[in-house]
Order: sequence, then C-alpha cells, then structure tokens
Amino acid sequence: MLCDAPQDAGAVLEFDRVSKGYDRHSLSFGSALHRALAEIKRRWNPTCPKEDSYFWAVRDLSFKVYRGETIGIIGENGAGKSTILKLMAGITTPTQGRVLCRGRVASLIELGAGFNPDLTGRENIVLNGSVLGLSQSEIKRKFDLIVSFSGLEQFLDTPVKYYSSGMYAKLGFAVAAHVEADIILTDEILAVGDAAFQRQCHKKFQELQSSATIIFVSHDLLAIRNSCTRVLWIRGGRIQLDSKPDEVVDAYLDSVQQEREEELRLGRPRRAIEGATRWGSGEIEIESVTTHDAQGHEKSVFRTHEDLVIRIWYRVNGAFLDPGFCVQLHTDQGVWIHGTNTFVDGVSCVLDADKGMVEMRYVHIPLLSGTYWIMAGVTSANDWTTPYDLRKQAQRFEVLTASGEGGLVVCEHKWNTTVTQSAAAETSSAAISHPVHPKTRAS
Amino acid sequence: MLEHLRRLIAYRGLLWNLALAELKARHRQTALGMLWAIAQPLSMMVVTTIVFSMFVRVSEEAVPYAIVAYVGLWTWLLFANSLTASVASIVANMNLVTKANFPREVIPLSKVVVTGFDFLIGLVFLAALMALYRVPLTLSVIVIPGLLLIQVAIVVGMMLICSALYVLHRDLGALLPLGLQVLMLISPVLYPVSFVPEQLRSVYLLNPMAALIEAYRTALLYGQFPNVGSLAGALLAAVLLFGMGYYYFKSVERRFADVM
Repeated sequence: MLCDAPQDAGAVLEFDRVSKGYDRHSLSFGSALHRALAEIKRRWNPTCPKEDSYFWAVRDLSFKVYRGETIGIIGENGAGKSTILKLMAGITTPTQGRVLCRGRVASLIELGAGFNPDLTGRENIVLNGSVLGLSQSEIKRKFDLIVSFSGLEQFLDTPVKYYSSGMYAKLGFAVAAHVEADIILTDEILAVGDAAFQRQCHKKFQELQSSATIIFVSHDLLAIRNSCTRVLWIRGGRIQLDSKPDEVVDAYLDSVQQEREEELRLGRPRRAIEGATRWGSGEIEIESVTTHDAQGHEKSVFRTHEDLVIRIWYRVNGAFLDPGFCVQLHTDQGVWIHGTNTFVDGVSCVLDADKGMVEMRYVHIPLLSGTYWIMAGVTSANDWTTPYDLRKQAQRFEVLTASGEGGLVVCEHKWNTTVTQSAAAETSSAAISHPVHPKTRAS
Repeated sequence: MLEHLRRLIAYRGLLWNLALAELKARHRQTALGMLWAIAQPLSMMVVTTIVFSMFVRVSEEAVPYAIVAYVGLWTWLLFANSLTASVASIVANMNLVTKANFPREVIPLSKVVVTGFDFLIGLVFLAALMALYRVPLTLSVIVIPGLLLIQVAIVVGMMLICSALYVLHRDLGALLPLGLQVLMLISPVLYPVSFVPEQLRSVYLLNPMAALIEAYRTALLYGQFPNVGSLAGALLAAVLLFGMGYYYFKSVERRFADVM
C-alpha cells in the first residue's frame, strides 16, 4: 500500500492526531426510527443531551515511526492495539486525523488469511501471496524459498484442509515472511509450530528487522522486551508511555500488578476455601511479609540459632475493632512447626491510621536445614475463621545448618559415653547444669 | 478514479488467483466439474422447450424454439449468476477484508471471471447446437464481442452496487432473488420478443437486458445486425451503471472493515 508521505523526512510512518470511532447504532429500521424520534424531541427541547453514538477505539493519537525501528505495541485487551494496526495497514480509515506512511506496507495480521481449504498447499501459496500484495512474478521467483522455509515439500499437493494446525501456520508464516515490504505489521505470529520451527521464525524475524521497519503487537512481554527498539503502551486508545522497552514493560507490569491486586482484594473469599492461599474481609490488609536479621537487614537465608525477625507490613482499608496478628511457620511440605498470635501472647496492638508494620522476633531460631514458609494474618478479637486478611505462604526463607544434625528442629541434648550404670542418677543432673549452649554451637 | 484503476491493475494477480481458486475448488468438489457450466442452461432449455413447444405451442418462424430459449438463458444466466454469486461475496470474505489491504472490488470481480468462464463453455455448446439445427452463421456475428462488452459493463456495475449495498444492508439478500425473477419475466429469456405486442415493444426494449438478449438473437440466429436504437439505450445504461457502481463502491469501501 502506498499513501501520502509524512512531513518528517526520517519518518516512515506518522499518526497525526488520529481518532477512530465506531458507530454503535444498528442499521435496522427500528433503531433508525428511534433515533429520528430522539432528534425531534431534542429539537423541541434543546436541553435534552445529544446521545453520543460513537465508541472511540483510538483517540487523538500522534506518533512517528522512523526507518529501521522495531516498535512493540502493548496494552490490555480492548486498548485499541488492533485498531492501530488496521489503521496503519489501511484496512480501516481514521475518523479524524491522518495516517501518513512512506513505502510498501505488509500487514501480516493473520497467518494464512484467505487460505482456501479445498486447494493444495502449492495453490494456496500463490493465492495467499497475492492477497499479501505479491505480484505473479514475485510469487514465482520466491516460490521455492517459501516451500523450503515451510518444510512442507511432501505435502505441497495435499489440500490444506488435511493439514494439521501446525502445518497450516507454518505455510502461512512461510508466505508472510517472504513479503518484501518497507513496513511490516504483525501480531503474535512468531509463536507458531514446534520448537525447531520457532527458532527458524525468530531467525527470519531478525533478518526482517535488519531490512524493514517492524510494528509488533503482542501480549508476549518477553518477546517485546527482547526484540523491540521502542515500545508504545496503549491504554484507552491513547499512548500511556512511549519509551525504551525495559522502561515501558516494567511500568506496564507494575500497573497490571496493581490492578490485579485490587481485583484480588475485592474478589477474595472471606473464609478459608480449599486451595486458596489468601482470604479475609480486607478491612486490614497484609501487603507483604519480610524477613530480617537481628540488625534489621532484609535477608532470606538464615543459619540455625540465628535471630529471625519477621515484619508484617499492613494497610488499613476500613473500620476495625480489637485487631491482632498471627504468625505461623510451616515446612515446605506443609508441616506446621509453630504458631502464635498477639492475643495468646497477651500483646495489644495499636495500629497506624493508614499503613504500618509490626515486628515479631524468633530469638535463636532452632530450625535445621530446609525451606520454610511464614503464614501471617490479622483479625479481630482472636477470631480466625473470618479474618481481616490471612496469607498462607506469605514469605519463604531458607535455613542452613553447619553441624551435621538432621531433622526439623534442634532439641537441646548432651551425650555421655563414660558413665557406669551406678552413676546414672548423678549424670542426669549434670546434663541440666551443663547444657550444650546454643551460642557456641552456632558460631 | 484513475488512481483506483491503477491500484486495481496492480492487484490483477489477486483477481485472477481468486477466480482460479474458486474454479479449481468447484471442479474438485463436484462430480460433474466443468460440465456444470452447461448443465444449468441445458436442463433449463430442455424443460422450457418441453413446456413451450408442447403445452403452450410457441409458433416460431425459421429458428427452432429450443435454440431461441438457449440463447436467452445463456445470456441471462451470465447476468443472474454473476449477481447472485457476488452479492454476499464481500461478507463471505470477511476474514480477507478485515485482515489484508487490497482493492475490495477484486472480490466481486473475481466472481464475474468465474461466470464468464461458464459463459465461454456455454458458447462452445451454442456452436454445437447451431450446427445441429443448421442455423447459418452470417457476418452479423462480429457484433457479439461488442454486445458482450456492454453486458459485462452492466453486470459489473450491478455487482459493485449490490455487493457494497449488501455489506451495509443485508435486506438485499432477500430482495435480489425477487428482483431477478421479475426482471427475468419482463425480459425475453424464455420467449422471443415477437411475443410482445407491437405497440408495447418500444417500451419493452427500454430494459437493457431485453435489448441485449434481442440483439444476441438477431445477430446469431436471424443473421441480421441488431437495432441500433435499442442498443444505444443499453450502451448508455452500461456506461451509467458501471460508472455509478464503481464510484459508489469506492466511496463506501472504506467502511466495510468497520461494519463487519
């Protein structure tokens, strides 16, 4: 496709205040009548608001794409990504503003668009090639390349309706990859076929990157991060952020995570259910649980008999009464080792109005080598069936043991190998007066 | 307009490949394959010949009724089949229209290539019929390509209007068969123009399809050059329909991807 050249000499594609609206009205006679009546009513009474019949998929969008860039477009479903691709491809035209581009645009939006299932692979290469804008002579010239890329030499004369979905996609990608264009528009077409074919696709993609400007719409953030030179984050039809891949992807992930947390909080069950790792009514919320050493430095690997400091970071969302926290330790296999709470320990809690932290210290933690999980919760008046918030597996830590002892916890002990049977009564009292001191064992 | 035509020419390969794909698919999927091109006009000819020469008794001059009916059906079916095939073609190829950028008229135009192919096979069969009935060929057949050109222009113009209109208003899907039936009855498809009362004939021939079918018969079967007056009307209709059709199609084309 050729269209008006952009003003900026270096730009190959330019969006100039582009908006795209879709008419929500149906074309039926009934809805036409309804609209006509509304119009008459409005004429009699001008204060009646005019119904906004447009749904704006893209709003007032301006950006430029320069030669050789690989631009990633990310955003949630319905953000307007597909509409932007369609505007670039010229499949649809803007309601307002202008789309300017320089050079031949190839839209590889769907693999195998227009494949005729009754025709053979050979015939569909020709058909699909011409759909993508290749001329007859170009198709003839590239036919062998396409066939060998697809690896489907044996199936060329089989109707594609007998192809597996992987073969179908391979053939589609093979044709699409051989379209010579200055600007290539594409969506998630890189993830097709088996591992070997995917490697081939990636190689081809890199090859295309060196020869063309690529616009790449995807939900695969890793692919975006690895292959793009610039990323646009689209939100509600507008550009939220336009910058380096790492920066945009991180910001996008943060935003998604925040929204996900919010959803989880609103949708979280109030009581424990099978398989849930978190439940509660949410008036007080445990935002995170962190582990620290005796000096307050955050860490997650401890030695046996070291001090373990657990911090519970909370946020207050609503009214609460008589709050208290609990902490439990579990092994990786789910064995409950220890649990306590502020109610049984008789500690009163005074919470900050907005956000805050409570600390709990295990002095000389007697755990042996292994992976352990902390469960943390907050509730009212020691009622743990309907807590404010309870998080199973809120934080994980490791313990390393220098001595060769085995098991879960250190039980204080003393050996005596030189006693006679008659002296047995005295040695048992000696064990109490001279225990193996934890401090000396740990160091 | 010129820009549009240039783009269309650039995509002639697609036009050809779409038509070829349909012909091949049809050929492979059906037992009769290519024979279907003549099976339709032939079977209609046989039935109407039985009805009209045995029950109704058409008194025909020099040329047997069967071949008169065949010429009528042969030309009519190019028109009717093209329209029927193309009206829903844009909607049927929605995955192409919303995924790739090419001049959309390629889709309905590929249908006229397919029906045009049937028309050519029908021509071979017509030659055989004429030999069988010993209808002499005269110099007047040289006007046939001209007639065909006028007819194709009318067909294409109508196809462009109908296929574009159908995207926006699906009512046309129900309306078109009705319109085609009415038009067939008021055109001399199954009867010669001589059936029409003398005083009504000038009005009757204002219908471009009536003028065209009559012209085909005059040139092929009666060995005379067709009436220039009624053909001029058909030519004017052809130019108008083609121009309006193409203009209308191009002006609503950009909305196709949004509506579907």
